[in-house]
Amino acid sequence: MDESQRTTPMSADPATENDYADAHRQLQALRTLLGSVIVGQEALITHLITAVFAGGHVLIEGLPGLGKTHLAKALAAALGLQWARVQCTPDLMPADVTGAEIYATAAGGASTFEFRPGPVFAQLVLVDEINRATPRTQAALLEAMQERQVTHALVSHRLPSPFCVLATQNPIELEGTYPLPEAQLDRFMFKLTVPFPQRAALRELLDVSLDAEPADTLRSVASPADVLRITQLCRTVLLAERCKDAAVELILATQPDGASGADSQHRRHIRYGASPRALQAVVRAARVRALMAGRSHVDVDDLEALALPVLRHRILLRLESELDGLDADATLTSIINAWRARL
Amino acid sequence: MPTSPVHHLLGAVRRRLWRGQVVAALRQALWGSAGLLLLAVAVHLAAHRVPAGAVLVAIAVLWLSMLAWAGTGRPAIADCALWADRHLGGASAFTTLLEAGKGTLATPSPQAVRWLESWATARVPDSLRRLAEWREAARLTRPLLAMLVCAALTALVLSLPDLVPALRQPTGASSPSSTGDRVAAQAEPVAAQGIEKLAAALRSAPSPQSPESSQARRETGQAQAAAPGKADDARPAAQAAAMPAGEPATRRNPSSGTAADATATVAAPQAAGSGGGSGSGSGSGNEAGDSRDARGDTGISPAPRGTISVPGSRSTTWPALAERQADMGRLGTYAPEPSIPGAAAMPALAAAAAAATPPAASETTWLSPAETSYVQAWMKANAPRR
Repeated sequence: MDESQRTTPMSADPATENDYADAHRQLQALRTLLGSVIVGQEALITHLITAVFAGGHVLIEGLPGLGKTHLAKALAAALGLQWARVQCTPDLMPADVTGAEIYATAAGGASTFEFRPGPVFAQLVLVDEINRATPRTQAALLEAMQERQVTHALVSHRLPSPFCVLATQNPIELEGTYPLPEAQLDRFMFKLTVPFPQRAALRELLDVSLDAEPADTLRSVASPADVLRITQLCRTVLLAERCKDAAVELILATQPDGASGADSQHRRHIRYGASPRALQAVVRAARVRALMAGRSHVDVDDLEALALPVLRHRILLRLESELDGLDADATLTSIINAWRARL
Repeated sequence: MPTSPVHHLLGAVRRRLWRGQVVAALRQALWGSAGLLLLAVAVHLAAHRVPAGAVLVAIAVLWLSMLAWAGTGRPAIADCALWADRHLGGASAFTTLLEAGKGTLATPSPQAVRWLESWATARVPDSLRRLAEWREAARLTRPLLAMLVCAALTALVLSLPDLVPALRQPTGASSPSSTGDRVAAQAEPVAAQGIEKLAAALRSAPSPQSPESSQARRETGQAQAAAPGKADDARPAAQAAAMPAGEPATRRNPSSGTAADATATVAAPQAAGSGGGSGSGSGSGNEAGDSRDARGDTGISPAPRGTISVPGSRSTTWPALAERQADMGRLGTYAPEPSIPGAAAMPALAAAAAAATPPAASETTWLSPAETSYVQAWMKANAPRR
């Protein structure tokens, strides 16, 4: 999805009723396919699909060995996307991500500097252990993620469409890491956590991926064009006034200054609340989720289901609350429950 | 722009909500009726008789207003859609469909609206089934029981004969409002009679130079010394000393004659105990006489030390006082008789006498040696307590 697609509303509605049915069917097929190779992570798969079709980026946090890289590879294979992997280390340079100009000699003998695109020019970029890269390299991803372009030597190079960044980080072994700044965290639509699989899922994992990598042989159920079409179709999903008010109330409920009428029992733990970009993200994601559920309208339940992954990396807790053992998930769960009860 | 099945569903929801509204109005009317009945009972007992017709009319007005509110408050179709979304699994479809029909949605896609219509129509049977299974307690039992109990109580109170006519009679426009004022108003004529008798007794009092008057003065001094029983124990002696010699003893204390037979040496402890326990602010001779003559009053137990006398108990002591005063000549004239109506007004009489201008002090009002020794003994006996 390029910038013109993001900013220009649909002038002519090419969608038909069958398009909604087809989109629903494709999304369900994609979820089923990924669920067959990534065992026991249904919620993670659903959120990941939602983020891809909502045009967002995903930050995945989990312990090593839980299948994060495998999930990215499977998603790229299922959608037929060109994908690239960047393994972040402290000595990784920005040019290693965005690309660099090299001196090249043409066949006729003329030598010029030409731009050699980096791995960020793939449609699906897996940035592994992003918190091990230096802030300079992390900042190089900012423009790519937000503007969907790379500027080098005063020349802007547009990124392919669709474009999605899947970044992973390890919650342990934090020595020698550079935590992502808040500005960059806000550019991720979702922050997903990978839970440890249940017993049955572990048992099934042996049957699925013991001797082979199923992602390598995965057949695609959609094409990049389908991704763009469904992404555009999601923008036509109806949003009632009640859902708009609910989304606004949700964002206000995370503000520590008490802008909303919610009780301050949980808000008092928050130092900084969610940004307006979070409001846009939750509504865009709710549209995809509604279409995934076979609806052409958003429900408050969609907002509720997506509130936690959208908001968990966008709030900052007070130091006192963190010292008391409170984390963002617990605080947000309380806020979301209170918000849902008021609707 | 609701389609027919959706419109049918919203109509059913509206009837359901309307019925709930009527039930809520009934509940409020029942609670309101119970409150009105209790109010009627309270007014009937405290102020004036409440006719049963007025109570019935008030309840009827309440019920009519509540039912009219329930009947006219027809639930809006948007409220019905919202209720269906929340409780019947609508998932915001009915609300969104209504907004799409009204054109309030921002640039709705026609295909999306058609998809929404088909989706909502498909949800209608399940929503109707949920609506049929929806049960909500009417919660009419408690208000109904409360109203029945209050109705029975009201019927009982209104059907009883007038229980407190005496309280209701002075409740006119010019009568005092509180019970204390009513008692004071009843005591006014009694006090006037008492003042007249007091004045007559004063006119017939003997000369202060006579032996009778000096004896009475001594006895009065003893009684006053025994009577106060307050923190200011020395005041009776000083008051007695301040009395003019020419004044009769009865004028110093109208009821001081009740302590006539008390001797200083014997009665001092008793008087100190009973007087100290009386706690009467006026320091009247009535109470002093009570304490001093307790040894001759076989029908009344002397008040224990430190007890507080109850004004209502005075009436029980008047017959004994009358008997005692029979031996005391004129002084007994001033004791209130049981036949006097409104004997409870005697504090007012005593207050009227005490309010008179005190006589000038002179040497003739000084205590006699016996009185002085009595007062000193009494003060010595009470010194530890003070």
